Amino acid sequence: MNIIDVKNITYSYGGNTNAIDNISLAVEKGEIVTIIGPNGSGKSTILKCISGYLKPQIGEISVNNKSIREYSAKEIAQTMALMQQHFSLDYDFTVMQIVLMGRNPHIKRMQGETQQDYDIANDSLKKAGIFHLKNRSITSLSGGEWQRMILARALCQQSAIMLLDEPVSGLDIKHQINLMSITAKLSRENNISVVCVLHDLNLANNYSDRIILLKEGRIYKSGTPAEMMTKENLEYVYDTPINIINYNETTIITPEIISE
Amino acid sequence: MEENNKKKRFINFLIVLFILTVFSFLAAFLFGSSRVSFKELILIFNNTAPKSTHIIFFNIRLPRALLSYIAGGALAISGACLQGIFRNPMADSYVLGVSSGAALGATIAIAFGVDIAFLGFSSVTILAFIFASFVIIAVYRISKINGTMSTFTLLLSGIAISSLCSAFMYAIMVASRDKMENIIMWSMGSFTTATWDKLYVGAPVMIIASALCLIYARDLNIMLQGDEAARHLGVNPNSTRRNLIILTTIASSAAIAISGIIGFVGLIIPHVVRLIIGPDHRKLLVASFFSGSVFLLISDTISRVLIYKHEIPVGVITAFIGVPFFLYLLRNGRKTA
Repeated sequence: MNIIDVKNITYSYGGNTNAIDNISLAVEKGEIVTIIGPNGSGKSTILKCISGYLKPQIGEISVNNKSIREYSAKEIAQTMALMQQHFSLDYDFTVMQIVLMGRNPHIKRMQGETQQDYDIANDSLKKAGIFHLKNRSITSLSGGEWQRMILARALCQQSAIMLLDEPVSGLDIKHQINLMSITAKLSRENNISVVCVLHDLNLANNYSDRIILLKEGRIYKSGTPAEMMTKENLEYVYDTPINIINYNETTIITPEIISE
Repeated sequence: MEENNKKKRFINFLIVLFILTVFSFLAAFLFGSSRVSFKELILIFNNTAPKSTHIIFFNIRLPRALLSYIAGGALAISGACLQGIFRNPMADSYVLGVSSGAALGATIAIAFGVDIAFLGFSSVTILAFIFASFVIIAVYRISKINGTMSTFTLLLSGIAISSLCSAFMYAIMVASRDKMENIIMWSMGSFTTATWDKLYVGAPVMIIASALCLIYARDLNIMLQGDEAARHLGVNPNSTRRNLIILTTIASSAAIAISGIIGFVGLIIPHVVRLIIGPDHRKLLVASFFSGSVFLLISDTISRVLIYKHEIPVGVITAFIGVPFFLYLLRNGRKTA
């Protein structure tokens, strides 16, 4: 069953060119779909349209068989959690306070968090592996810890969909692998659908069920990682020579180093 | 542990504010151009005080103290909300143009002798309130493009419209030099003209608008993370911003219309409170209100007693006390903030 259905959407930020042009895609329950493509190919625009943040000029998006336009702010948050790029927030909140904000879509105005909300938040902190940081000030977190806090906040929302917008950019390789593997594992365990925008081709190759290749605002191809991550496809989409190396049964994708 | 510490800190802070409230009211009752002794104050409550003392207390000092207390709270909570929704420590009602709008309204009323006094409010107060509201509506409409609003556009158009209002104000001032002193004195802020009539209408407006801001406390915490994140946490950033701008405009323009322009309360108090109790708006808004209240009441009392038989505009006092204290905290509190 498709949980997200995107039908022929076109979005333009104004001007003559469309950021995305006639995009259609579907995401099934529990599936991890990764969108890859060069800068400016429209990856984040698609994600922002799915989330309802941008309203496509043409086309229709439905989530759970209901048009995204009909969702209220609370309903969007109950259905879709967002894990965005690392951002800085120079306010002295504790990790627990930020994670508890994930409960907001489920709490009525002027009501406080219940014990159940705290239990869910604690559970999310444990799943994201940062329970020990619960009372730390967010101003003292490293990049990796920060993103795991945002992951915990997203889990705390208990939504069926997670949107990941370049969640690992700015993290070192250990934390990139760590964050992606926790996210993928939790998605499988809890049957959460994930739509992910990634720059790193190797991460996309290893953690996705399906990959969508984007070029100049259009879908070039989509399919399993094995089908998509070929030299021909990637060289066409990224317009640069790429090598694919098989080493110990792992596929390594690397651009050819060009010396000028 | 830390969660509990923060809660304790908040409660302690409220206790301190309560004690300060009691003392600042006492000081406001006792000190002034004519001294009222503590004994006389007790007699007032027994209804056995001399008539003159009775009049000073009920007709002058009590309404004035209450009005400055509530106005201080309204200005501070407005500043705290606006700094939150714009994620910008520079934001307050003044940057958006409330004060310049009010000043232009007051200038027109003073210079042209407009007579629309009503419900005990002078024409100056009424025109100041109307102009302040108009400026905010204009700034808001200018910066709203395709249903969304950019913080930068909003702050910059606020600054631009403010300059325009000031330009008109100076032009009018130059054209009517005989009223210049009145205009300048008004624009520096004062509670000299506080009356029960002003309190009866002004206080409920300021208190209700401030209290309604509290509804959005949790939304403000969430909005610090940006509009996109806020939407995914169940907050509609555009409507929250609009509603808070309306509420804070009502609260702060009521305060300014009654008292003139009192700077630094809306800007500085929320910062100081944030440094002490942290950024959680559920605590910050309440604590800012009462800190602003105490601060303005003390400032107003000082403005009355600093020079014998002369009043210094309270806006001058708030700047004199507020700015050095704020700069001290800014330099020494940065590590913990």
